[in-house]
Amino acid sequence: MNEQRKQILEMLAEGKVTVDEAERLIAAVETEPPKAEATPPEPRAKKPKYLRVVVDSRENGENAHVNVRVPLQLLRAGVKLASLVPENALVQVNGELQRSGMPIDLNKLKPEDIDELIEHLAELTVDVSADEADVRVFCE
Amino acid sequence: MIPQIVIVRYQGKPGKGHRFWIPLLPIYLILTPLLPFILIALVIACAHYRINPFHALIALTRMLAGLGGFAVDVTQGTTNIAIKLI
Repeated sequence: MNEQRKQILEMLAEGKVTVDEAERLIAAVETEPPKAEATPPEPRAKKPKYLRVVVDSRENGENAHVNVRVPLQLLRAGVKLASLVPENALVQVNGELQRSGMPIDLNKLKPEDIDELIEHLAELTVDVSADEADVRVFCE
Repeated sequence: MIPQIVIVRYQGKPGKGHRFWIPLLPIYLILTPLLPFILIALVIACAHYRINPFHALIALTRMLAGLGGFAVDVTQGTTNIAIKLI
């Protein structure tokens, strides 16, 4: 029994969905896997190597252009460095983050999570346009 | 890979620019005699903050190795400065 069916049956047991709704959900879930199995796996996209930040600014009639390229290897090393932070310092930092409204637990930050994040960063593009500046962040 | 060369390009006026290739290996070699002192300072700092010095050293080495490929290019008006680590 796959995870999705199990979740649907749990929802039915808890009364969150009716029997008809559960049946429709299970049917929908069951129709998806065959399609995924029939198509050959997509070739893996090239892993991104750099994080690029490009800023074009137009202030006081003067144009400025900043282009920063940061190797993602540095990001991975930075995560490993974060794991060296002493526990009592981490507790304090987590407390401050919580008070600032950012429920991030730095204890749970692991290098494996970064690898997965970096893998999905290949398609990330952030474009911010304002009157005086354009900022673009992407991975390549 | 630990950066081996820094390329610095400076262009003050259009058509006039300078480019410098600075090898980092001689700089690393010059800093080698200071390495024992740096390591001792690292061990003392790690002992003070209760950090494993071995892990700290590995993390710092990885950060240094990850710097290869770092590049910054700033252009304002006709002035351009670019720094690239390879």
